[in-house]
Amino acid sequence: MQSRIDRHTRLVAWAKITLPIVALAMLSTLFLLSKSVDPIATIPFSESDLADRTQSQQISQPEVFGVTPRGDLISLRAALARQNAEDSALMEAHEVSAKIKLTSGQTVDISAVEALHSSAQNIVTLSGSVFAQTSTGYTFHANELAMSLFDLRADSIGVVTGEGPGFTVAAGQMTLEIPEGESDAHILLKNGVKLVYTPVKEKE
Amino acid sequence: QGANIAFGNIKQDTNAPVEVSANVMDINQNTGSAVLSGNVLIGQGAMRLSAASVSIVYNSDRSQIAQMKASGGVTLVSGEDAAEAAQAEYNVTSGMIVLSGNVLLVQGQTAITADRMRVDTTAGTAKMEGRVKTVLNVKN
Repeated sequence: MQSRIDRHTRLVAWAKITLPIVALAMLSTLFLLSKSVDPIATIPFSESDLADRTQSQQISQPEVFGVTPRGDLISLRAALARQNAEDSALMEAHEVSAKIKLTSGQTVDISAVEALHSSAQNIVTLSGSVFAQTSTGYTFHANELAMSLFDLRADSIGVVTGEGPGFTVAAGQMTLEIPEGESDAHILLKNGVKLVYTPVKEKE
Repeated sequence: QGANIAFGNIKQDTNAPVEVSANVMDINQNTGSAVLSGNVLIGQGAMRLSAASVSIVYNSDRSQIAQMKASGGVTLVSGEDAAEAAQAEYNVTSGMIVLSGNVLLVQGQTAITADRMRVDTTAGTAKMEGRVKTVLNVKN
């Protein structure tokens, strides 16, 4: 009976020595054998991206707000805005959406692929499939639209096509403004307008 | 008193597309009403209506055009008949055109003047109302 107890205490005594040594060995090799992690490679930027970024300032999700003397709110959002390389007064923006809230409560929503904002004249030139939608039920498509941020004025550069309740319309040029002597904002389609209305057959 | 006459030689389909061309179209962003001006020409089938300015009236739920009000001197031509008046209302859904304001209708040799003229483009008929006078030019 006594020998079995001695064997147990000898076993425990040996364990008290070998186990810490094994732990020590494991711990020391743990940092020796780990993969070497190169901190430079893990940053998600390419060389060209870095050079591009350092060259000019860049804002992501910029928002520009403007109020016209009459109280219409003009807001402009973009996914990304970057300063133009050549002319620092120009800001290039991508995936732009603009919203004009008129004092009358009606709204005009405009979206475009790109925009060029010149802070000198406070004009934003939207380009690349500009799409405008008014709460009065009209939609317009243009190639380019020059929009002012601080008074209610937007002019399409080039032809514009659009839809209204039940009809399609095409015109040489479109202007959103408040004509003299008027209190409401108007959209003027100029330089020749062609409208095609297709009546819907009444469902008897 | 009134006079019923045939106007334009063919029946008109009210579901034919209506084409309108003008110099300028002005859309009021508050009310949504639209006015075309600058030698406006409305065309549907064989019917041509030219006017100085045309304002578009929408139906109740603003999904369709209900009426076109032409003003500033109107000329309506359908087939070889022609009518002139001060203004006209073209009800697009029913195909009725109401000309008013010293209407002058010229049909071949005869000319008829009246206060109002109702043209039903679907039936190809017209009804002259109010002080109707016919000028027959009789060749001797």
